[in-house]
Amino acid sequence: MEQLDRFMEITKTTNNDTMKEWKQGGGRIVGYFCTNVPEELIMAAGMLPYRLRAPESRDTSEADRYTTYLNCTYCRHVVDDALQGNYDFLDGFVGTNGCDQMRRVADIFRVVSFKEPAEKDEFFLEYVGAPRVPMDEASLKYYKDEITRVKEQLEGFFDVEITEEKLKEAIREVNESRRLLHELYELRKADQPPITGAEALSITVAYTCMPKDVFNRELKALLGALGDRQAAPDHKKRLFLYGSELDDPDWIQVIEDQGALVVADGSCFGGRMFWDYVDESADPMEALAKRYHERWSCPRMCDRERRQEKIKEMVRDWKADGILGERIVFCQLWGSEKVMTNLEAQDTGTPTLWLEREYLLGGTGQIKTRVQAFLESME
Amino acid sequence: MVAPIQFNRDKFYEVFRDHLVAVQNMAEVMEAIGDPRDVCVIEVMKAIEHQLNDLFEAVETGKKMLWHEFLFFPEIFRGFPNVYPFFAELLCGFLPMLDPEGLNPYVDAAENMGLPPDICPADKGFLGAVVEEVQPPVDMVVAPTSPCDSAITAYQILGQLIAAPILQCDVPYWQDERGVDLYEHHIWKMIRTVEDVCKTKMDWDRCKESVMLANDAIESFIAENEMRKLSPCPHPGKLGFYQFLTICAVSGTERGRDLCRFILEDSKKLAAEGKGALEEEKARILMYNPDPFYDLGVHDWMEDEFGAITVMSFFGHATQTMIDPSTPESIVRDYAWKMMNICMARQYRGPHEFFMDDFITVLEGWNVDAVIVPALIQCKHGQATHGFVREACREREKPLLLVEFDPMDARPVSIDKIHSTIEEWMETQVIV
Repeated sequence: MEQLDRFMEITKTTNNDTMKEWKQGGGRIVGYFCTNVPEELIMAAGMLPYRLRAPESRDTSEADRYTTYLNCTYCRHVVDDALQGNYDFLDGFVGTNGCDQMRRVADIFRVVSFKEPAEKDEFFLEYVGAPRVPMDEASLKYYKDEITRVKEQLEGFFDVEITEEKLKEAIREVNESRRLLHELYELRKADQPPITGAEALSITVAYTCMPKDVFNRELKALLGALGDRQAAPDHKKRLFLYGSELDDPDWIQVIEDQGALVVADGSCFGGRMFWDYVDESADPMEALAKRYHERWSCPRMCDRERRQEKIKEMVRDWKADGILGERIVFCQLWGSEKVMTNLEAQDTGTPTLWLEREYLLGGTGQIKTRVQAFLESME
Repeated sequence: MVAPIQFNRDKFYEVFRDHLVAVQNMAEVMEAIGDPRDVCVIEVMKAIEHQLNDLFEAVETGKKMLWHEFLFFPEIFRGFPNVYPFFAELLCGFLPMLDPEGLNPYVDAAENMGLPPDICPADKGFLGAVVEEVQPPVDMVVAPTSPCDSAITAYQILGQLIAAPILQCDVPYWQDERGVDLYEHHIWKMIRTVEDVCKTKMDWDRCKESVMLANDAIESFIAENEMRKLSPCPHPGKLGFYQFLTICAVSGTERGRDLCRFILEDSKKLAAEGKGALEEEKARILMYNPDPFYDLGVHDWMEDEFGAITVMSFFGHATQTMIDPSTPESIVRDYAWKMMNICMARQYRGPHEFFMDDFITVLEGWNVDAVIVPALIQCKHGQATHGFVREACREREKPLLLVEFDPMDARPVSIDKIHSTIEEWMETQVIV
């Protein structure tokens, strides 16, 4: 389908056509890694939020002056792209302590990659020190103070005013994207979903690097065009995908080529990213803080039980036959989450398979064998 | 829910009594050999011996057992009547020191549960000891969200393995008043939860007493740090590690205070006599990042082979602050600040400057000739700090060795390999 092809194409590029158009129209782009940074703030400042990926990177030799072979390859490729100047379209970057490795990548960005333009006041650099205990008033306040500082710095640096109305408008627009993505995910509950897991990932990845109005328009068109499409009529088993950073639909394609169908996910660039809405009736900064601090979390947050309840709900509601976990090698958060998920799965009896991967697609032979065996074990 | 792991009295006593015997034997052997560098280490061993006996007594008398992660010093918990604060990583810390392979069965047990090899061995060893049912009983667990992702998630896993409640207190990203407000809030929450779960009430007079003992110990530790600026450095390279780890277990006791005082007095005595761990220092080394726990002898070996002394180590660097004991409020506020500033909690969180600033302070303040940075395999933010470390050493024209190993498990990189790497560096870069 034309719309799906377009989303898929966007996932293959670092700087897509919609971003180029945005820049050509005089727009600014501010990057971030992790969804601890509310993109609504960047949008309310009139800029395009861009979540960093490195789909065109092939090597980490520049990065490894600062990182090592024992670091996660997502971080290494992103650093490499930054050092090679492949994010030159950015006007700023907001880091966060999503994990220990990203914390250091933000340091490398600040004191190496973007040091020069930042010192000349040509590049915006800020940081959100996100707390780790949700459902706690003091932590929520700390987080709100953090994002308030980012808002104020954005205003000062770019000489723009982020009014309450602009914030509300940005919230409405992103909530609309979330609503459309939920609509898409609802369709995946069907016995014969209209899209595959790989296709769904291409859409959620595109969400992170397109102007939201363009994204919403194109996703609406896609939803209208899906009709009674059956994306994988011969699939054998339905899987819930759970895990760390994953922005490459081809990886899911390898899984789905073995007869699985990913029907829902809780991945960094997927479900966990967009699931929760911002309360449009509340004070915008309060509402943003609450949404981002208390959303469907990753294991950096100390709320294992909430996460596990969410997984159970997803598996049940999307009628998944099993859980497919994935983590990038050397990701400690997800290395531990794997154990937590497996312990829980022993209790619920949900078949679970965890695969380790690198940022760039590789080792497909082993993936195929393991997925085939997993699917057979469920028959 | 998976059935929670229960206290196994037989296994606990078997392992911890063996541990006690190993501590006693080590002290006896050191006394018999009579190396002057071991004088203070023998005192450390005696403190640990007493600590283990206290643990047995607490188990026997049915005290409430409060496990605390190592980045919560126990002085504050000593204010709870009828509660025994147990340093949860005690085995991980001391087992490899006494037997290089001592922690391996627990690391294996954790990996057998599914933890990947690239998780910190302190967390694997700790969780493995839980799975193998050798840990003491537990009524409640408290842990900060520090020093790293591995620890944060290890305590979440622990929550699935045991029935006791776990409270994680959030260490802020930034080093400022707002951050200490947040951490203070969590410490108060922790106190109330311990009171509730352990059916006890904080005795602030008792807590004040403990805090004053802890202050005294830290004061001595900081003064000992200053003594290490002398040349010859009075004490051997390994001592800082032993001292820090022991403080993690005994902070807030008379024993802890006396140990730190003893070390300082011994240091002063040696300095007054013009004596040091080495008669002639050919190189003053900074080792910044945890030492190989299973090979603290690496420091003795560098001293003997190359005349190179570790004048400061990561654990030996006293960055802790004092606690104003006057009111409950001042105690809690300053405890929060102190716990944000103890080794690892201080350098391993926040931006890389939190690590680098301390690194440079020591590099420039202790008359250092060369630098060893343990490139711990599992330490991910550490791995991504190497570039900054290299630049800092290059700017100051200090030879640097980034030596890769697992700090608690000698299987990935053997003791011999660590030594041969250091040897080659010493002979080509340092002692030339």
